[in-house]
Amino acid sequence: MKQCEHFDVVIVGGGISGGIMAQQLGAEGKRVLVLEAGADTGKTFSGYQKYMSTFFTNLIKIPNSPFPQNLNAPQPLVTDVSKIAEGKPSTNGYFVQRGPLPFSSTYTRALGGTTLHWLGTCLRMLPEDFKIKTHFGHGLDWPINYDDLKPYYEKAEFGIGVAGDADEQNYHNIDNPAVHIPFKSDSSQDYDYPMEKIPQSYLDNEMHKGLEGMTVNLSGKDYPVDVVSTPQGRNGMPRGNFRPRGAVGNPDLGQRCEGNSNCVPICPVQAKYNALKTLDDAIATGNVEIRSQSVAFNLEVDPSTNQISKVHYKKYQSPDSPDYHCETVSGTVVVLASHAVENAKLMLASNVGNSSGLVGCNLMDHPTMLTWGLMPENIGAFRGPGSTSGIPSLRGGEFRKDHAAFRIEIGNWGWNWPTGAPIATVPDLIDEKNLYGEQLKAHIAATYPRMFRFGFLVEQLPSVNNRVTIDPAYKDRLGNYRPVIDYDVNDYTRAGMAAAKRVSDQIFQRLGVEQYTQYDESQPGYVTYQGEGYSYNGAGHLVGTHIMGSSKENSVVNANQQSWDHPNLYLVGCGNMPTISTSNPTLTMAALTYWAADNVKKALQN
Amino acid sequence: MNLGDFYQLSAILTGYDEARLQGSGVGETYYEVLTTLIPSHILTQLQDTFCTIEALPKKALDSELRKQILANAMLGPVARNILKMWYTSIWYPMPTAWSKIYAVPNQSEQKYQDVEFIISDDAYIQGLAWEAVHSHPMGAKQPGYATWSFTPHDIASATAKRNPAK
Amino acid sequence: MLQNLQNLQAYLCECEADEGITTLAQLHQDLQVAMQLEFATLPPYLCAMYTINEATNPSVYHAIRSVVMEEMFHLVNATNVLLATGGTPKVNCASFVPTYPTPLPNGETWFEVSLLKFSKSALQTFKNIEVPADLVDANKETIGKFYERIQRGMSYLQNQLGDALFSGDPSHQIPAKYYYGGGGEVTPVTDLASANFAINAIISQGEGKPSGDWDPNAPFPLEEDTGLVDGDHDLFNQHRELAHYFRFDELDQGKRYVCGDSAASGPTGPTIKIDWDDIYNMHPNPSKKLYHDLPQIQKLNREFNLIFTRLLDELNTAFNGQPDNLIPAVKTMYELKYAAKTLMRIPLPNSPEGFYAGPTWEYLEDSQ
Repeated sequence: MKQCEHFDVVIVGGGISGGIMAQQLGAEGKRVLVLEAGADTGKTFSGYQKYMSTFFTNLIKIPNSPFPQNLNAPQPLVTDVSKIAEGKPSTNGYFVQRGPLPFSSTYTRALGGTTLHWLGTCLRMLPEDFKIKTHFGHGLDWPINYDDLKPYYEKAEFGIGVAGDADEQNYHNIDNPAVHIPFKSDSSQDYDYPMEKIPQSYLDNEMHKGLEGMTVNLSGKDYPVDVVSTPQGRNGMPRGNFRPRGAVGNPDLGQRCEGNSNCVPICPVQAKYNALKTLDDAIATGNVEIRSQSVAFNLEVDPSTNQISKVHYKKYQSPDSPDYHCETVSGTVVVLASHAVENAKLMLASNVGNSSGLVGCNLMDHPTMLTWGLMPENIGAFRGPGSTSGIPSLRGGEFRKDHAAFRIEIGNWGWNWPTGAPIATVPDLIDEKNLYGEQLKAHIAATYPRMFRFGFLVEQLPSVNNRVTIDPAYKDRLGNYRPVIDYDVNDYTRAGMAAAKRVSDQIFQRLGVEQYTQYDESQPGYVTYQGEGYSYNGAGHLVGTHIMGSSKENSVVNANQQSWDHPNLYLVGCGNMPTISTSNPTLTMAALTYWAADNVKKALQN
Repeated sequence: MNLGDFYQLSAILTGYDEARLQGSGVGETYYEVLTTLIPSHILTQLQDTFCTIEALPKKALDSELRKQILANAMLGPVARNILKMWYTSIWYPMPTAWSKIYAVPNQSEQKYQDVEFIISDDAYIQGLAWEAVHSHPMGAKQPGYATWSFTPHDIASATAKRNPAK
Repeated sequence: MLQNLQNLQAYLCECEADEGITTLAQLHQDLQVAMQLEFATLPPYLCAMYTINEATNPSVYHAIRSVVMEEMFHLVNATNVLLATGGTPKVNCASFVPTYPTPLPNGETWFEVSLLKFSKSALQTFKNIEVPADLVDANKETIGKFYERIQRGMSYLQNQLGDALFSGDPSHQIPAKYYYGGGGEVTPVTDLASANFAINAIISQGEGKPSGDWDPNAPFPLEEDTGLVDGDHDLFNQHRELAHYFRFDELDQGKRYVCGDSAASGPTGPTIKIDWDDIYNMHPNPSKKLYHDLPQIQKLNREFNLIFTRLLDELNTAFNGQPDNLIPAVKTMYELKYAAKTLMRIPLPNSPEGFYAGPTWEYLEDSQ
């Protein structure tokens, strides 16, 4: 019998959390294996160029458009999302959706993971976000607090390479103490991000002027509406000795954001961080091996020790062929870093780590409501990173007792998200508005640069009913389970959407924005609240599914990010987060992964 | 229809002069797509019609172009497809009703078919819609760091006119 | 203070005759020439680069791009040395830009530089520009020798003037954060050592490491099969790249330098795939008279020259106390690229050789 290959650490998943874990442990001299389910096209510069070419000629420019569907490791697509009839699951795509509402977020299954198409937003959570049960009576408390995570936020901000100004990101100028984030502490008096903040867009600056002094009333209390720059995992002007890292395989490119206006779905020069960079650093330690096209499908438990003794995976030669063979490896420590949904799926399929019965439960996202309109003047739409500022002043406050908090993202790409402008909307100018020549040119010049949109990222609470499960009736081409998803958006979040729409309307009135927002029943994410309709989209923020907590009964992992059931099993990724609050989760997830890596280092020392 | 005529017609349809269209580097590909998919007798008629009106003064040209080409049931959809190629880099399938009456677009096993498709990487990058927005195609022709914070094009040039000193 | 090229040649001959730089004014003059020299290489490199299809000839494109980025780095280094010694750079005038074909402004009269599409003859010119001093006759002027003269002059003046030589306002220099995307790192110039460091970086990136007793048969000290090193590895701890001359030689010979290769052996490594046909056939040394009866191309060329003029204006303010003007200057560089490529895709009517248009690279004194 073939001997099972042994590593100090076996990591399932080659995305950002797997990359951080591999780099951290490889640098300590540990022998690390990374199993990546998807292809590793992006690891060379020419491979990455193929992604660009696929993007250019793909008619539908959704977040996964540069990354070809791989039937051996399928990925969900925005275009799969549809309304779900009662009792009739939607099986259009990779997800099997049982509803009642569709789960609209997607992720990428290829080396580098979803950071290949993320926007790069790197917000820290608010201190109050770690204890919303205590403060507001909803959701769950984390077993750790902001101060515990703070040093790891700093590590993550340097690891990713975040551009921002600490003096703005502490929100101390916002007249709402609930959102203040302490950056300075005894241990770090002078902390600042490794790069200066990314310049705010012309739109941001106009909006900042237009909204100065504005307040809105939530739950009987006035709150400020302040435009603040957003910290981003995007190369800008370095501070001190920090050197921005360029493209993998072509390091001269991407040392600065060049304004390609294409962060999602793909940054052509890799000025926006992606996990290929961290994985490249991991390989450079000389101790890390990456095996791509290797789909882990079963974790074996040694009944005498309760340790994960073996990791079984299916190795396929080509994404174009269903042929595969099975391989087995073992690790002193096993780390699941394959994404919230995939981690849950693998644990359920292997029947491990689930003594709490909570594996797969508490799936969350930021239901993202868009509003859009025409500004009275040219604001230079369709330029720059997708978003360079937001309105964070409503991320926290007493109103969270009544409804969800939300962060407002100011979009720099006109109506590209809500309508597909300009490419998808110009045919209408030709066919219906009957424009051509100079008139067509003039019409576009006069209207399109005035387009703008808000995105409201609304908080969603953990619920055991929003969950990922598996069903033998639904498998992919390699015979692995497809995720089966139950999902709904409750009134707490819907009330947050309603409040967000009121804020949007007030801002539009104040700035003289011509309203074009339209929600209608045909949209898959259409919901109603107190008789009014709203629509949400997926934010791509898949959180929950194997949450951390204070006890074996209320959670899947402990504060060390270690499985309660199997001492050598660590979980990383957004699945560990018990609540989502209002920050895009990647930075927090990265910080937690640095934390987890420290714990694995300690475990391996013993 | 020859390539020179194709550029002349395209210039009127798009509002960009011929040299500018040639400078995109993708006109020949558009011409190839058009001549592959639309039967030549229709293109000849389009060319002949255009030749009779192209020398007219601007206003008359506009009215005749609308009358004789854009509002012509056979030629209109072809002209609009040429215009859409230039602006969006996409070939849109000819309307079914049009195909029933005038001609079935060539559908053999060749390089191009009468289905919706983006003509090429370069075509995407050269789409005139982006130019008309005074921006750049998303994912290409990057304008450089911090440019998104600069005053937008038309405001900047209006200010420059008012205040010519640098 | 800028001279036209004819006078410059005579001036340099004079300098040679009286054995180099002996006054601060001469040093400033030569550093201004250095800026002009570094800048003069850009239009020919960019013309070749922009006639290439990035998608079909990526290795050629990236090789030339890497050299272009480093020429800009050289320009910044020469500027910083000029600023450090109290000089006043001047780049926004018609005489700063040569009319091609031209000899290089440092007195290298043994070859002329033309604006050509990417081709064998373009590569020959590029190799001439970057040739290491040890590979050519001792009496031929090279860029390296020109810079060594500047270095000797700085030492001489340091002896004469002491620290007063470096009297420029340090805040006017271009800080490191504005240069990115190529080999090298801009370092502040405050004394003779840092000035020599900045100049050495120019010499070593172009020709390979300066060295008095260089044996062209000796294999290059390579640990990996990546090719001949330029100075960046030692100077800046950066990834290793060939010196410019050898990067162009690789393209010329269609092969990579690998471990064990020497300057005499030439490259013996893997073949570089180059599609010589997929190049826009730009008219050599495009000039205004090509377009005299082509108003649409004339208009596009004028647009190009307006952008080029704006670029030099922005660089001039950036080099004279407002380094943050390099941010709009980068925007202008991209605009220049797109305007150049637009011209290069336009076939010239009635050209038996099937030539295409190209930009004329003129500073328009009357643009305002």
